[in-house]
Amino acid sequence: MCQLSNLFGYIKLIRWVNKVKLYISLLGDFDIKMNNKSIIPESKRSSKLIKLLEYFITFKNKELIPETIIENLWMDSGSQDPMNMIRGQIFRLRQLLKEMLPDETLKISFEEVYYILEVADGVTIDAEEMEYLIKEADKEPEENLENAINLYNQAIDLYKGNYLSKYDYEMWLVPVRSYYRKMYLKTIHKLIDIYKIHNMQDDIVELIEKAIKVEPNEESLRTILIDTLLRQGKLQEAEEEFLSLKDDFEKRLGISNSTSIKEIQRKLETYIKGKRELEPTGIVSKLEEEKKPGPVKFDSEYFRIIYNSYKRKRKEGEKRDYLGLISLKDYEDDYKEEEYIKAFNNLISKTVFSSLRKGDIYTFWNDTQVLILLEGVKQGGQDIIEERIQRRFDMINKYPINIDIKFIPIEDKEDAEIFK
Amino acid sequence: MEYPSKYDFFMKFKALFSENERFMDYVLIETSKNFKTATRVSPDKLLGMKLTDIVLEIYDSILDLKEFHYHMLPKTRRKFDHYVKEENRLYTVSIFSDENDYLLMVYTDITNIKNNTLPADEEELLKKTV
Repeated sequence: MCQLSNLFGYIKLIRWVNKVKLYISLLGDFDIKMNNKSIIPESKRSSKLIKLLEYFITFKNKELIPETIIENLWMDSGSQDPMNMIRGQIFRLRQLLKEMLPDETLKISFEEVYYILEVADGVTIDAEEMEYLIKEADKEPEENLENAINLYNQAIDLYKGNYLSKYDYEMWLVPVRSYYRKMYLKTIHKLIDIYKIHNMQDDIVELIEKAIKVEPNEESLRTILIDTLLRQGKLQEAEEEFLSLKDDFEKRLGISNSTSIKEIQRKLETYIKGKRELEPTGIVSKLEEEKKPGPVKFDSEYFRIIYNSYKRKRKEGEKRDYLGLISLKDYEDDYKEEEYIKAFNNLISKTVFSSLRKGDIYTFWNDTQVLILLEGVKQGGQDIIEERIQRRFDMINKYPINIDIKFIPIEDKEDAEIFK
Repeated sequence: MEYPSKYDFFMKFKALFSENERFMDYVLIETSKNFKTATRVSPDKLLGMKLTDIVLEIYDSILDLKEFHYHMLPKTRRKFDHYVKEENRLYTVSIFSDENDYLLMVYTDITNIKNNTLPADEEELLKKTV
């Protein structure tokens, strides 16, 4: 008896495992995958039956009367007997579903006057997954910002193009397409706002560059990209992006200027003018940056220049300047190394931001090491900062990774090996 | 027999088309005068908004536009049952779009009609009907 119940349990488990692994993609190209392998026969991929299946999946677990299906899918078919046609198509679709999924994970039933596609538990649909992840991210409290960012990014990665992008235009697809597209763009803007608040300019650029591969005509994203590049001082890249945007705009709409393009052009010109025609008067206001909290992040080349400048101006006294090195530890894992390095980058940015003083500077020397420059630290002060960094990192770190922190005083001799 | 129509209301939308006359979305242009009483949502908040934005930004269990907006297309007519658990109220939702440009969505409260037809426990009846 016990063996029998074990056997039933095992069968149940096998069925559950099989069910869990059915994944339906609707955002971008349509596919149904079992264990990461498509189960749609190649010969049927562009058939009417697949279109009918896509329609049923869109309205899954909903009662559909045949007239509505005909109206949406085959209004122009010219069939003399559309009701008979739909019965035939649904019969063939049921056969196809049985071939693909013998355990009836997707099953079309007919009840009274309507058809319904019943979807078993454990089937994942990318569009629903995206919606779920966004809702979960929205629920995250402010102190779990890292989690929220992670969830938003996961959701964004699921959107690979318009809902059932292979169809140019189908009236019934308009509302569902518009719904997921707007959800995607809204999430991108939400994430940009978070990055802006935390001064994560590089992340904004990376996010928008990814997004415009999917939505190349989304003007609002491209204008934010140009604006961010300007803020980063990447004038040439900003100009190139602007010209490409203007060109696309002309090709697509046949007009050379929109209000937003004019606005960007004005910003670009102001910026270029500001850079090229510097007069002694007003130099200070041009050089001064916006007031921002926390330490300043530089790229490694600027960091090297500033380090050497510190070294030259260093004076003997009670206070000393320190060079700090934070290294990622315990991250070597064949499968998760990339994930851990990404996590380190996010975690250390936040840790450094909340642990260092306004005048301190830092740089990502490589993927797994961060350099810090502390100016005018009293005896023992570096230990307090080290302890603070470690504590704040541990507070937000949820990964099995660790960091190693070392501080060395900046001397007027060749002691910092890294810059030799 | 006459029934109260306090909770019946409507919404009127105008369709948006692209340059090549493809349907893109709807904009809410009118609601019945009792809209706020019937739904507790201020029409001022919604008027002028695109349907997709309303669906994404405004959740209201009576309107439940997420449930219906896939069916809101030009030149269509649809009719649905709609049970609102929080209000214990049953509606018929009718979507009319005889012409390309406009769509009318009418919510008719049929809770009393259903209750008077069958002398069953109200909650059970509503559940069965739904």
